[in-house]
Amino acid sequence: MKVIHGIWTPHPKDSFIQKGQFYIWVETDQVNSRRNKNLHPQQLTEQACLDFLKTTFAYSLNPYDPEAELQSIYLPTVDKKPLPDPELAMSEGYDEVFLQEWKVFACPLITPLKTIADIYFLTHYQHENVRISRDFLFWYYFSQSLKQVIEKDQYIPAVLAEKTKTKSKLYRCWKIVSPVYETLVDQSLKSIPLACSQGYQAESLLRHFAEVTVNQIIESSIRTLPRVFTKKLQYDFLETILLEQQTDKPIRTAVKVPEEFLHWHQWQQKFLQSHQQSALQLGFQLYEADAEQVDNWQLSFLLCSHKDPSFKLDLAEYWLDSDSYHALIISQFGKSIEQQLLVNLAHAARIYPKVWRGMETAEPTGLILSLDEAFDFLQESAWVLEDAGFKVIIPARLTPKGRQRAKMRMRTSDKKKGSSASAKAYLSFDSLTEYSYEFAMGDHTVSPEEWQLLVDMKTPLVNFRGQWMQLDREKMQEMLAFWQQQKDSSNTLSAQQLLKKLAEEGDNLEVDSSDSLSEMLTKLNDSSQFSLIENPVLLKAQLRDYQKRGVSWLCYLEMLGLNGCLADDMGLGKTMQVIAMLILEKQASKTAPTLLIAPTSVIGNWEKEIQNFAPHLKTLIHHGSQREKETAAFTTLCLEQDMLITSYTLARKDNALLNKVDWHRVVLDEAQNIKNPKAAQTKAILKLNANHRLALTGTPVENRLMDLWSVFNFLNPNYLGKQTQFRKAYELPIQRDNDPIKSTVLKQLIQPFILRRLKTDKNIIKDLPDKIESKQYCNLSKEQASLYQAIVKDVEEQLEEKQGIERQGLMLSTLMKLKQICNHPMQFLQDGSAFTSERSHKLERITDMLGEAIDEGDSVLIFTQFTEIGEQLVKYLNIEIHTPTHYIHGGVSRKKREQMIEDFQDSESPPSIFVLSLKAGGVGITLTRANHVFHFDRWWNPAVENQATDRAFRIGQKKNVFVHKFITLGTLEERIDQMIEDKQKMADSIVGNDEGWLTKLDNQAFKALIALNKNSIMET
Amino acid sequence: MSAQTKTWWGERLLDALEEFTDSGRLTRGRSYASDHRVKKWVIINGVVQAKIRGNKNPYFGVYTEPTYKTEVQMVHLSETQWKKVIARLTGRASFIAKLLVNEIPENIEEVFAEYKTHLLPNNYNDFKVSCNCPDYVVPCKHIAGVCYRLASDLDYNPLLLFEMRGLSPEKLHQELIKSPLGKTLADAQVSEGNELAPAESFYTQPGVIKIPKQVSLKQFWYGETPLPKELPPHQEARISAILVKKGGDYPAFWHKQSSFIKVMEDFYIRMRKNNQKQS
Repeated sequence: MKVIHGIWTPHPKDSFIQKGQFYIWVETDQVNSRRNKNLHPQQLTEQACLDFLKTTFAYSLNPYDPEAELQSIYLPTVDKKPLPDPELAMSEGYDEVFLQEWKVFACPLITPLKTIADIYFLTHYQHENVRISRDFLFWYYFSQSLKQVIEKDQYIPAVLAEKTKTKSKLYRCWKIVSPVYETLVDQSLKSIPLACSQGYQAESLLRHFAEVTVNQIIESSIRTLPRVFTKKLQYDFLETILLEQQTDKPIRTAVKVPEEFLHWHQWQQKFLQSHQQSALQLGFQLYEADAEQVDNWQLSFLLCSHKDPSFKLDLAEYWLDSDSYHALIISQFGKSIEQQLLVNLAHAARIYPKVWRGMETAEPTGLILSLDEAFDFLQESAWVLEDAGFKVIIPARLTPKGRQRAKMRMRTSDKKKGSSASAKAYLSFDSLTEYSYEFAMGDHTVSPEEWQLLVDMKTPLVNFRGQWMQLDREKMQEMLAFWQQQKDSSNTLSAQQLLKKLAEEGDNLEVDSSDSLSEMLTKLNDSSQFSLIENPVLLKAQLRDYQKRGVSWLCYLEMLGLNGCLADDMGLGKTMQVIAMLILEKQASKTAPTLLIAPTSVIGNWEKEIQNFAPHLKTLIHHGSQREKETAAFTTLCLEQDMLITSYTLARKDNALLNKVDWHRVVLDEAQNIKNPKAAQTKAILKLNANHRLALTGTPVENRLMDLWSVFNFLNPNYLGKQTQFRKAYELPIQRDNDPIKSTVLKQLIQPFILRRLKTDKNIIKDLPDKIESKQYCNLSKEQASLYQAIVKDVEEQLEEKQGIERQGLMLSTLMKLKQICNHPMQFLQDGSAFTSERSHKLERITDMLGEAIDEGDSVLIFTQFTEIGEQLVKYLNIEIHTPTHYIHGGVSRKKREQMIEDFQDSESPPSIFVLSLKAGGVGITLTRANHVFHFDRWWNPAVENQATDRAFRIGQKKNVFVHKFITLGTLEERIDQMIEDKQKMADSIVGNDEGWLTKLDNQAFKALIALNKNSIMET
Repeated sequence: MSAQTKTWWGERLLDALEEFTDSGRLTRGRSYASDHRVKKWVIINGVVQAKIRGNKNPYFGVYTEPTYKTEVQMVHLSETQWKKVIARLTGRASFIAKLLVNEIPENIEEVFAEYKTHLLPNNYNDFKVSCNCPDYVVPCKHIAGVCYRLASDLDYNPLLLFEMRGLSPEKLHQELIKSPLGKTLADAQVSEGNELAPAESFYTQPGVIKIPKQVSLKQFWYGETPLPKELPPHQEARISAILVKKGGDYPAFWHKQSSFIKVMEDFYIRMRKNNQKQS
């Protein structure tokens, strides 16, 4: 694991031009053997750092040979060692730490803005083992937001004079003049960590970074201006202003400042001064003309405020009664408001000269625009004024967003019309629909004749059926041509093609709202439109309403021949919805079996849930060395099943075998497992034959676009194009360049295929109880099983020989040992061996679930009764999940404990994990920020467990709380859980307040309780 | 500095000059507007008093380099005329706004016409000129040079025209402050300074502070508020050089006849393209 850090180092303050340099350095989890007192012990040094950056990010400093330089930075230091970056490991238990200087090998970035963006992008989306630190992240946001200044021409060349004894040294400097920049600096000051500002005053450091970086970019852009342009300026003073390339030196040295330079200065002051001026912002508001008086568009002048976006005063109003507004105005803008106003009006008039017309009076209020002028205003001037910093308000339906658009409308062909049922049926059978086009303007259908008339209109702004509309006649002409070409041919589209077309055409195309296609689209884009299915009779559970809707969605999608992704939040019951669908399917007709591919750690859970809720579904686990490998026998066996469950590993290993069956459906649980398209596992899964495909995932796949593509490539191959096409068309524009249009198109493309309900959705909350308990079933690993078996065998012999207290002691210690084995072999062996997930499915499963919860921004509590497990979990999760992890056990001081609780509860801090020992954490603590509670091992007393759960479920908890109890299949855990369930039905009192009640069992019963069911062992 | 003019009012001044002189003389006069030629230049009571470096000219018996005293003034309006004119000017925001941003309003003559006068010179009768050079033709090239110089100064200081027409800056101020609109212009004139004060440093100087000895880890790694979830969307400028456009065309250092803004538009478009490669 490596963590990228960023440092902004100002050069020494010994010259007038004090530059700076952005560096990156790389922290690792390996301790460097080279020992030097001040050298950071965990970093990539010189060549290693360069090599890493070269291979990982194609880092280069062409045309120079890059060299790493030693830089000093302050880092939190404990015991003469720098604490690792939080991304590498969480450091717990320090209230306050000392800051000490460390030397790091840092590589300079020559084009920081570009390289920072590249590094961010690559670490985020491509390199699993590289992370970025908080300091780099801050510089990423700040530097990338700075691009706006450059993109929007918000800088000017300015002349600067350096004070010397006799002469003036004159320099050219690029000054940022931008309200956006000022806001950025203000906001960034609040979010800059000390890790970035180090020993500098934050605002000056940010401005220094911004100024140096922007100047650097502009300077180097100037060097590549073509001769065509530079020739134009030859011999003119502007050549000095714009093109002078001696920027490190003065461009002129003179005793008396030459007049041209004074003029230049005078010119620049206009921008620099008005920029620093008060909050006054001039605004323009356009009012529509009546249909009868088309040339009567009123454009009013407004008094607005940069500081208070809600402040708005019509100038007409102001002049009418300026005295009474006086105090208010002074408080908002200070004095000399009328001068500012006039200067602002003049500035606006320079960009939009019609403003002069409104100023032929002592008290300007606005002006009247003709129809053509209004169109020009809407088309361009309004946006130009807005870009220039003026506020522009235009009627909502004339804004690009609210505009009534000219568009094409699709409807299923008349031939196929009739009842909507027949259209639907047509769609469902071979997934094809015939359709035709018509024209529409906003919500109104327009005949081809009317359309032609509109195209021929002289003005692009027309009052059509009582509403002003802006027409893009060129586009309308194109649509007309398209329609003429299409109208006689018959067209067919599959549902998938249709969705793709609609998303890509955007606003230019829609489906007639009265058409049956429209009903389909509405449903696909809004899952709340789905009707609730009846609770399946054979399901031994009650589905919640949103689950019923989910099942309905799954069935509908498959009926349309589409393959979807059920991406509900963890805890909302994706498994249950799939089971319900299978029940309904079996009820309707006999189909080929479904193949479910799941991570090994959840296979047991699937099996158990089917057993519990739908025991009539025939399910087979294809796993372990005993699995059927012979083709004929396997296919016969499969045909008898409703569902075959296997692991990702076997989906690859037994691919040939699995390919022999024509599956009704392939379901991928935790579908993010196929995110790597190059992996053999992914390729093998793509080869499987199935009528339908379904992906389940709880992680928000839409945030990582290549993962999303991979899942879609499984579901609906080609829908999002080939990988390289998708990368070019969507991934890079959206994730690297932040393109909002591409992002919208992609959202529209994928939305119909993904059903993702969040536990925070209002509609979901109302279906959920405040506390949702679920059990997570895991299997034993082979190692655990053999340890378990050895203990059981040993105890069975001893049990017969012991009596009374001794016998009870033996029973209790056995329970303890077996529980330890179920947790992790290491806990039982106490041998310091590796605490890894390969040795325990329970650990593997909880790690996955925690990752999902944290990804969604949730905080969690984990209870265990064993301190050694608590310690190991904290260490392990630090490395695996990189999330702040707190741990309370008996040995934690009260002060420490309070601090941890406060940190955890702080809603501004990142989502965190809180590990508690069941006894220490049981009482008196409120941890309502958590909405997931995990019981890693069980206390065979529901009262104690519930009391612990209630840490999260207390007054002040506004979210639903999900409780996950881990149970190891085929062991005492499964059986005791069953006993508690049964007994609770009778009376809580039978179960005492400790685990002693278990020792009252007779030998026979106790043996049955702890016996190992070998079928439940799962090889990894 | 070459003496040309880019503004319409400067042009009008030169047009009037051209009416009473031949073009050859005028062309030669242009070179007398340069810094090299103009040894002294003051405006007192609306009169330009200049000293111009002449040429040796044996034909006229001038054997050492001469310096000529040249004066140019324009016919002054009466005090009452000015009072009335200013009162009218300060009744229209467009006039004041234009003057505030250093432009002569195109329709300004409408106001002067109401009082049977005009601001810009129409012809020779609007000038009073004198030069002590031996050339008997009036205007001589020195006078032409001074007029050129005057025209180019007017480009960036249009209120100079008022002064030339007999309204001293003090009087102008007095008249302006009589109305609210006029007062804004008067205030602006007072506050306007044009000193190129020396800067402390080229870039903002990063201020060094003492880093705290002890901090909490949270303080070190996190700011007070979380970073925004998303970057601002990428959006290019709708039109080029918008900032520069606000400042108006033809700044004082720009000596070409073509539009300064046009060149800057081109500049920013090219820069945006180049910048993209680096960011």
